[in-house]
Amino acid sequence: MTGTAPQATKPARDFTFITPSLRRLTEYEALTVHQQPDALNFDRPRGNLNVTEWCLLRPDGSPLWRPDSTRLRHPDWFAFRDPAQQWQRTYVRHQEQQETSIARATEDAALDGNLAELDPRWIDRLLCTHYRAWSFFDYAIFRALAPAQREALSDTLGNVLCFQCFDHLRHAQGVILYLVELENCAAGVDDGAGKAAWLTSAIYQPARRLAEQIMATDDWGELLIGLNLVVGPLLQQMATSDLVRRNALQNNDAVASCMVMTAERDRRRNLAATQAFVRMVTDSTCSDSAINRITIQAWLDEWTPRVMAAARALSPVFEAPPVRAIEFSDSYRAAAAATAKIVTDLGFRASADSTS
Amino acid sequence: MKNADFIKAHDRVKDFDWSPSYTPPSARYPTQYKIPVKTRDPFRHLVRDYCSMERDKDDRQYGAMSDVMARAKMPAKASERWTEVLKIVLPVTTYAEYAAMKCTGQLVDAVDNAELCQGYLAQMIDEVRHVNQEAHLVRYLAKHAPDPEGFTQGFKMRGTNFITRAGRAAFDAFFAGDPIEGALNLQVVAETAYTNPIFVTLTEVAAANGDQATPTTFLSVQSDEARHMANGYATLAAIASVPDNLPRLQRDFDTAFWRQHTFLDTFVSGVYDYFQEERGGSYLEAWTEWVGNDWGGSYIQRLEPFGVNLPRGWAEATDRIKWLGHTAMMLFAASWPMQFIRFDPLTARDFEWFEKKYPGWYGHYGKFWEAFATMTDPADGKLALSMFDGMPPLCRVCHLPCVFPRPDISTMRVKDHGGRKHAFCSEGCEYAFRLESHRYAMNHTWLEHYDGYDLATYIEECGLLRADGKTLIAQPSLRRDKMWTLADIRAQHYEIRDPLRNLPSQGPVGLIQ
Repeated sequence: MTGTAPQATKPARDFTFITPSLRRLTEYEALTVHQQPDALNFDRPRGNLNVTEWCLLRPDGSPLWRPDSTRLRHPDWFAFRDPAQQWQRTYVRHQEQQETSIARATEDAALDGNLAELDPRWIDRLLCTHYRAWSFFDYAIFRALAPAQREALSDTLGNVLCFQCFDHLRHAQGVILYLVELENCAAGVDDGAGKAAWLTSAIYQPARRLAEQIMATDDWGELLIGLNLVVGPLLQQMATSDLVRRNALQNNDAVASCMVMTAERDRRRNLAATQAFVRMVTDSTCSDSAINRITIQAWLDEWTPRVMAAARALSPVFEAPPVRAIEFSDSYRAAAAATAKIVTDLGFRASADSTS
Repeated sequence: MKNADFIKAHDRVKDFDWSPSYTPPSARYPTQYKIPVKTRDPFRHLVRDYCSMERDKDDRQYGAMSDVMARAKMPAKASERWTEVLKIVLPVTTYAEYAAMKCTGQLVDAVDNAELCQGYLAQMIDEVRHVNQEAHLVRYLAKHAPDPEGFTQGFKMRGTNFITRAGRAAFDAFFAGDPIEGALNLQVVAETAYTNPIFVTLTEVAAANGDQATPTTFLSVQSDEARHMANGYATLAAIASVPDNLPRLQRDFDTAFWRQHTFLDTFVSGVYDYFQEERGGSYLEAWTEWVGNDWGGSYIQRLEPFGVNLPRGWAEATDRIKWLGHTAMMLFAASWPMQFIRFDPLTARDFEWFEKKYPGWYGHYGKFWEAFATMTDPADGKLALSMFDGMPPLCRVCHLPCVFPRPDISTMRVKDHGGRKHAFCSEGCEYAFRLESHRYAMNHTWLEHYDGYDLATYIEECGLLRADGKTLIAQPSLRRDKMWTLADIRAQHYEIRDPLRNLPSQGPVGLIQ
């Protein structure tokens, strides 16, 4: 039925509707960009009517995606590209590798007697109380990022938020899985200690206050910036990298160390995405860059003291490990300095608290 | 991990929520429903197991496509009639997946139930997976199919094509409203009733027509859907367990069913029945098995003890199924220059199949298809659109043509509201408008956007041309020696007209307070 007459011009064999960020279209771009409707530009019918509209509005009459879902402004949110170029397959493969490494480390530690040899004080104070309490903080971030991915104004941004959302539930569940395995090898594992501490201990109330503020934050741009430029390098660094990973090595706990290292890898990815995001909205070619700078600075000024309060409250936990790898003051100073560097490298003023 | 440990871990992950005492939660997605804090667990998947399972599935699917299927040039061996329709099917299904991802984001926020939230998270990533899988399939076909035009730019057409716009109107309901309303549209209706006919039965059609890439992708997608159905059932059972929820639940369920039925049954039945070359079963048969018997007859009936009944409009939908796809396909084929696929005129063998599967079909549609087959050569200068006085108006709610179930028994009505005229294709769509007019009343249909446009201008403006800049992507046949060009269309002087402006109103819409 079909003829063979060639067309005058050879047709393209790849998507022609995406502008690649580099010379060639990447797989990540091809499978991600313009999946979210863009009523302002890409999907707008030219036609007779110069209107931006949606077939179905929300119950309050607002559009499916609200331009004011973030205080930041940009003419084309679809221009954002995740530096890690993650799409579902690459992301899930990466997380499967990380989870497999944890599962094997746990299995080996159980079989070679390492788990049975852990100091009961380490198990009680750090694992069951602190690390398990911290799983609630990660759970809160998971709950906050789910609506953030819903509201984000492009597919490339929504996917970054979606993957980070998944990261945090992975971290939260990881603690539970570890304690369940530990119960089979060691006495005195109290899974309920973490929740009790999270709800009542003075050490964790500033963190719980912060977690509840995070869950109540509607602006997805603010969440991205607050979580990855402040909470991650400062609070997560202290609560997990310093308190758990560094102490774990000194307290013969290879599993906890491995778990936190995978979380740190996630954190680096999310930080890089956020840095790219901040550069995009503050780039001189963005007409709203000046106002965006003011907005971001205001967020940093607002988030940093809250996060530092949560970090300072963790001070007694630094006394808890049987063998102490790091003092609170050193951890706090280094984390604050690292946070200040991240912020100043992006052209913002570090909070006075973080430089003092 | 031992099974007992797994169950213990799973019980513990249910206990993550607490009642905030420092900062009240944000009312981002106000819900009319009372949601129990504890429910029956839909399924037990922790992130660790989830990643392992999905990676295996990804490796199998992408591995098969990039290895043996590509080397064997399998896409080139598939039926061209079938392959062509994937140019429009896949951009539509991909948006459904994207909208589903947004739905689950709302559910995680609104449902303070840790076990359900974790099920929603797995579904959220699944939906990203499905978007990527289906976009990958489009790209794969752009690379390997005999005619890439339409695959390479199909996603660009979604905002300006009247059929894909109707798809958006249906799937927007996954995440435009109350999160539970979204779950009813997505999980209870679209996924539970329709993913089997789409991702299972339609893949049988694809495979029978030599297309192995689509089944490889769709069956992998469908392997996630059982969990999503479980999410939907768990959500529905939780909501229905609170008596105060029942009136609202039945109302939203009624609307959700109609919104999804109008688009999905119309679109899928046309695809299913008209693009098979190696013919097997009909959409009516697939619908009867999966939607009529399994969903309506079993799944929903199990909910009757909770007080949830078959949706309003169910009996009417059951009657409409016989004709929806045929009516839609007549308009779809007639409007071929506005599309981005090539159509294959029906043959005597097709006619015989249709009459057997849908007795009476020839009397309503046979003459059109006979005439269509004579209008494929541009040298004859006959547009199939010329067989009609014009296009029917588009429905304000579902955005489909108001011509269903059949032109001679159309249930169209035209009403006034807010100083504008609105056409509705059916009582069900008018009912949705009467309940929440403000969510629909401001939109414009495709015909309102392009009223008065010269067809050639529309084609040019929307980029519906091939790489030579002259030949249309869409064609009324698969012949490559006689392809229509923009000049051929321009010579027809066909103007797109919205008939709504001249249709009399039957009075104001009676809003339901």
